[in-house]
Amino acid sequence: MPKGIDVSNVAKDFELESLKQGLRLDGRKLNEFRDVEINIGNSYGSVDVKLGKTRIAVRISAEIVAPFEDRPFEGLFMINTEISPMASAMFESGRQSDEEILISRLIEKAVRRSNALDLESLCIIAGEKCWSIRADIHYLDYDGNFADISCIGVLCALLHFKKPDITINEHQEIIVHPINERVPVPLSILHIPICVTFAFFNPNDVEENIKGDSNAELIVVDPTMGEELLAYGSLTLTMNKNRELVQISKAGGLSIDAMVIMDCSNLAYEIACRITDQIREAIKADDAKRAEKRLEIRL
Amino acid sequence: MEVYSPEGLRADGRRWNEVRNFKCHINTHQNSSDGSSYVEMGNTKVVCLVSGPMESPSSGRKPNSSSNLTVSISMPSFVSNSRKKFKKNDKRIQELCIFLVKTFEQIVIMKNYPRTIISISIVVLSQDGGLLPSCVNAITLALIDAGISMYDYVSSINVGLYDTTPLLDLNHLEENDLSFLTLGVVGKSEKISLLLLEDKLSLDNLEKLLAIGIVGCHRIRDIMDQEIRRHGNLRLSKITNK
Amino acid sequence: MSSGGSDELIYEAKLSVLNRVDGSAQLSISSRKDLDEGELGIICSITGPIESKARQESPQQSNLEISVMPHIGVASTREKLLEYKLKLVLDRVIDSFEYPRQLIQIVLQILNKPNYEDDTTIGSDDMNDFFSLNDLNGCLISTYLALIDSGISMKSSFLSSCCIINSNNQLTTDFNKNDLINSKSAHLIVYDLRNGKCNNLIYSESIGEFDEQIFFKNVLDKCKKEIENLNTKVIKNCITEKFKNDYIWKA
Repeated sequence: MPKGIDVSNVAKDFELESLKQGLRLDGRKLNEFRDVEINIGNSYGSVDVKLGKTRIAVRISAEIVAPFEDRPFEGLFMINTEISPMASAMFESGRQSDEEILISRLIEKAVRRSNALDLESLCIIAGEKCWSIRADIHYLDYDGNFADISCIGVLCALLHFKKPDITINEHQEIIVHPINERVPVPLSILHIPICVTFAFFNPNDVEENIKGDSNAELIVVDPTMGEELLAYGSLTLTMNKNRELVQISKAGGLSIDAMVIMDCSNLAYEIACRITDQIREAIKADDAKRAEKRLEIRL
Repeated sequence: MEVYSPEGLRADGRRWNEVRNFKCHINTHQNSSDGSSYVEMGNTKVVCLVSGPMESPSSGRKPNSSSNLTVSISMPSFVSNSRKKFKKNDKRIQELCIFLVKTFEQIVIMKNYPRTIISISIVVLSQDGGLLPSCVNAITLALIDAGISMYDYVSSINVGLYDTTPLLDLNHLEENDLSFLTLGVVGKSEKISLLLLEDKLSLDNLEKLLAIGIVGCHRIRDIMDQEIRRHGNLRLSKITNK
Repeated sequence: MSSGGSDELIYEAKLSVLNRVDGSAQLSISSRKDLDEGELGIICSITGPIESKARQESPQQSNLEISVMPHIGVASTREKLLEYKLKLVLDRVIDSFEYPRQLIQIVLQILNKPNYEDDTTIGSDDMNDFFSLNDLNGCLISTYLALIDSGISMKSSFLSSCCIINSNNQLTTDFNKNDLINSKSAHLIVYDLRNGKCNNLIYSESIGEFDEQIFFKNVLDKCKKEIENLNTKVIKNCITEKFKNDYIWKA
């Protein structure tokens, strides 16, 4: 962990013993995901998400640029995952720690590489002009599991964001219509990937884990900061509602039996479905609110 | 060129469950490092050098500082088909390094080497798919050559899915076309240390791929073990004959 | 959450919003005239006094590390200038001799910006320096609140206010799109407070063309009134609420 938060042996033993008895420090069961709280802001593409005490703010912005030369039919999509010392003093501004790099790559694989946002729909004039969508994730408060909350936040914000409507006139010029003139256009989201992170704990010795046959390793879903600091490794599964695994990332750590990984993926699927529904409902509720407001103004 | 023909042959003539030509040597750089290895998985060629355990360069470091193991990967521009210069801080390469550190931090018996660092550096000579597996295998061999205590081998391979057929040990072309898993397995067990999937895969196919991947890893482990024993016997014979 | 306003602006302030830092405050400033104009939302976190790196250490004083993060994009020279100006004010206000060789880390995250900043019809491309002035205003107020929350010793209270002189020569702190079109000048005034009244001028920045007399008479007066209003109606309530929450365990 960056900038060494040293955890005392007493805390370590206490945590491990409680996990052996199936108890977590915040009262959850080992396979329980924290409650997700989604707050949609006033402008399009601005979302605040809370996962327990972990808190992020996501902002989506769009501008028109020239596409890459080797991909003239695709738009651009960038995700910025810089963590500032606001989230916790562990994170230094300017330098990227190992954990930040992993989170950045994770979000990139889960959202960008999996084509959650359809890049071809961002093309305006092939080879000349396209939309460049930018997602900025602001990490406000750290209590474990930045990976999962980032994914939820980015997807929610992308689903909420609407880009200004454009028309191309005879001179191949692009006219961008302001939001109050013409109804803005939502983005084309092909699927909703949700990340679920599992943290591992070893109740026995290392030798037992590597050489032994017992599968006594403890697995918790959605670790808090205390659990993350003490865990011996983690596994992040990204799934969508179509029963597709978008990415799996188990960077070393405790060795886990293949069957246990299958169990984790089934649990992750359930959680992913639930959260996807929650995101969709939040977006729908916000749409309804906006429609009401528009009606009020008209009346 | 089709990835998998209806007769069951892949583009390079292999069957679905055939591993590429796996060649490995250890103790290739006796003078420049404490342990070294050279691994070829098909056309992917990787050299690994291990220095350690040695005193950490910043002697003022706290004794319980996190990274006692460092991995650095150097990818020159001639490794793949088209010449491409890799940035020094390329996120993908940094991510690979972090993965390797986390994998081997659990496998190396770190409590035998307190307050020291073990520095692993990998030079990629040719990249034709299976970069991470080759690195893992090369590091395992180099650490054994360096005499650093480890709990067990870590062998690694990648396995992809073409339609409903799993394909073991993918090359570069196959990696681009298919979604594939990279697995790192500990010794002869079925315990997975490293697992990486970067493209979409249906959940129902996961179990199949894991099973085949584990078998493939065991095969790689056997080949590595053979080479280690052969080399060990060679050196033993030199000592006893003298 | 404490909200209220002067005659013109609506301020909403809340203390202790973050868990991992020593002090934090969330501030939102919105226009009373035009409720659809959006708000300026800033969250400020303060960690300190903490151990500083050897190169940042100062033998008798504390060191300030300020980071401003924009709501869109990465921090650029614009944010660097904001950080510099903030440091100018905070170096004078924070009692740095109380915490020698320590570091006080201040991070400001701009969460929301008013809608007129995106509106190109008002020539918003040229108004970046004015928008920065408005940002600085928000940053200063939220930093003050966070400093109170974190318990870091200050030499005095301070608050700021930003006003513009629009094309009809009217002074206003509550500006909307119409005020910004062809506005003549913008001013940021920071006063320190004593007994709820403005005492000394700490920092003043003005951009645009304006008459000296109008500045010294009207602008300073208007800002003084705004600051005192802000102090009595919003800041005092905010801090009282925080103490109420903190003291719930007292018998």
